[in-house]
Amino acid sequence: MRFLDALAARLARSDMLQALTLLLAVLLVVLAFSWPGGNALVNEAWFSLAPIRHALLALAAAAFGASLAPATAGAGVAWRHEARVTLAALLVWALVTLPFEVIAHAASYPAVSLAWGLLTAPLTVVAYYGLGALLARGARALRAAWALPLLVPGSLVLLAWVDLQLGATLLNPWTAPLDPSPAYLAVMGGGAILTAMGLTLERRPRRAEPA
Amino acid sequence: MCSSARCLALLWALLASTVALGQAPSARFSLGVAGQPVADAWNPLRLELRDAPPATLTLQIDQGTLRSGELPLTVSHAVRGGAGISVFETTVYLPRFARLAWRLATPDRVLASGSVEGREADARPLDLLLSNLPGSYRAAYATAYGPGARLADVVASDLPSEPAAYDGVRTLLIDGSAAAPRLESVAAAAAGGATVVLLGPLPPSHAELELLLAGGAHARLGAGAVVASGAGPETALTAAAALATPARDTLLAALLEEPLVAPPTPAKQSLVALALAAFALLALLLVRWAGAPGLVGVLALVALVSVVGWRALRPATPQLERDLTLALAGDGLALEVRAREVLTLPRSALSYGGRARPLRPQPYRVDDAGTHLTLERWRAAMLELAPRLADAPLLWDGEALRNVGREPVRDLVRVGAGPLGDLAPGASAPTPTEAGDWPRYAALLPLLPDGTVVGRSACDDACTVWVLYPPAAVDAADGAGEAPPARAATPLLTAPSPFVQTGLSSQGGAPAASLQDAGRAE
Repeated sequence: MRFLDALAARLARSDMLQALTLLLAVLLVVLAFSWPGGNALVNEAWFSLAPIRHALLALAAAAFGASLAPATAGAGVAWRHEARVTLAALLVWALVTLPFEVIAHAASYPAVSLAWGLLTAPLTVVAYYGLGALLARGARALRAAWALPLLVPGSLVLLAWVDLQLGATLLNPWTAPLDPSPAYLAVMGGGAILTAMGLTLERRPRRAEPA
Repeated sequence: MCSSARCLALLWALLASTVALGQAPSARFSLGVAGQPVADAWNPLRLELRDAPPATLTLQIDQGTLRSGELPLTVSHAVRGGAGISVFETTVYLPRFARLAWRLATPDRVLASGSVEGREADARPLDLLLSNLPGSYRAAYATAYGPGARLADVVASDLPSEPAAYDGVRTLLIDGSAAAPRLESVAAAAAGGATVVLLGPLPPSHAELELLLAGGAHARLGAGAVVASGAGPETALTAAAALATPARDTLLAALLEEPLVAPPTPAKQSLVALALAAFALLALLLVRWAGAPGLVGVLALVALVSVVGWRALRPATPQLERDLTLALAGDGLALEVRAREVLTLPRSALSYGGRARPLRPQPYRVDDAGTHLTLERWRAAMLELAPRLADAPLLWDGEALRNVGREPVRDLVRVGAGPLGDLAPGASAPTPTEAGDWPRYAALLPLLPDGTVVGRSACDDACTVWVLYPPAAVDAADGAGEAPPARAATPLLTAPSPFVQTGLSSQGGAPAASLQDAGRAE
């Protein structure tokens, strides 16, 4: 099965399709409500839409990353393929939601370049996907997998709180599109590289000890 | 009594201290004509330095009120200095201020500084007297302009030669008893909007001033006028008051009642929502039912919607700018005041070469490179550039109009008579047109005296609105040749101004400036 077919099939699966539908609906509502109506001239739509888009993409990536984390260290080839396809599907989400941000950006004319959003959205998705997988592995190691539905959004809140305490944009996907920060790019880039390494590097299974 | 040796020692010490003081770097700061600044007007700024190193002159002006809070205006200029005396002159816009502080400093130390409290700010226009006996004109000014006239005694060297420096000056009276001023200074005063009163007969040293009258007893020149009279100060000043024209700020405000730039109209909310809903639905259907080809289709759709949306909704430029110039013309000269409205879509730091000021109070900065201000997103600022002189294409040729410029002047209107039409270059008879008044004239025309002609030119990029007042119709020449009346020797406006401050620097080490008047030692 070609990768493209696998990706299309993954996107068409009900869990992803429902989540994507919800994401598009939220973005549509946000854009419609923040778009100037009547006699208003000032367009601030992008300032509402971009943070929500980035935050929801990060949340979805972390959630899917947590749900697909391997139960054991030596995960199989099938799991690895599934994880890669799921990550690719999440990157397609970033693309499918792009027109919302492009249109809001064009009309709002913020000082932040559109290229910043184009760059950070996929990096955020990949990095938070890895974070979700890491969380799941840690929760399972602590026999607390049941807490994952709380841990995933909780970790995002915690990271946003850390950013607020530091007074900088390092980890928070909500403020990242509004405040271009090389530090955020470095952190997300590093996270994305680690995630990619985790998904591509084959780990050798341990040799059985001779009896 | 002292012994000869003691007296000699005392004398030597006195001489030595005098020489030492004479060699110490010093700075004399003066704001306004003769140190009498006018609030809400452009004012000359003069800094005289002696033996001072290159330094930076900084003015910190708080133009805020209790309601608005602090609104800083910072003016900073590099001053060359050097051995001997050096003079730095510029023109600054002085708003009504809560506090003004100035400082002359090198990177290492402050050479001189001073401050003025807001209660010293006076927005009344100045009436300048170039006379040895200025007190004799108080009653005449009270008769012509009311008791609130702000008279200031000046000498010829106080008069700047830049028209913008006379923004706050109403009249300049010259009676010939003091040293003659330079012709260009008096011409600058008239062109800058002041009414120059030549109270005759003037001595031969003042003869060149009569060039401004072009053979008559009165003439308009630029935004102001020149009146010559030998009939006494009351008659002359009454004649000058009759030539008064509406304030330039009032005329400009009338022209700018409607904004010059309009923000881009946003696309309809419903249209955008429907388009994106259709896109989302199509994308979901393709993903659900069309497999890999559908996925490729979705990606193509994303590209298409993004590109079309970007091109349709993105304004062409982040800043929209448009200029409008008000030109007050007389006798071939015009005082041009250019207004520029800028609307910025993203938050921007704007810089303009030259001197400008926002018409609405807001923080800004002026330096050698120009004027700088920061605008929040989707905000507009209206800037007024410093007034300057230019050639005027519209002239009175007797009772007829003449266009001596290179461009046609369109939509001419004579106040009280109605539309005249367009006036081609070189023509003296307007060509009637079907078009009525230019809409922007609507608020301007009621402010102008009957007979004033208004026209516009070069409206493709930036309009210039020409205002040509009617020829001066006052009989100010009566009594010319008679001797000036006897004057009362009343002292006038000789009190020290807080806007003339002198800073003396210590000869090294720590700064130790002493200031006259309201100045403060650093």
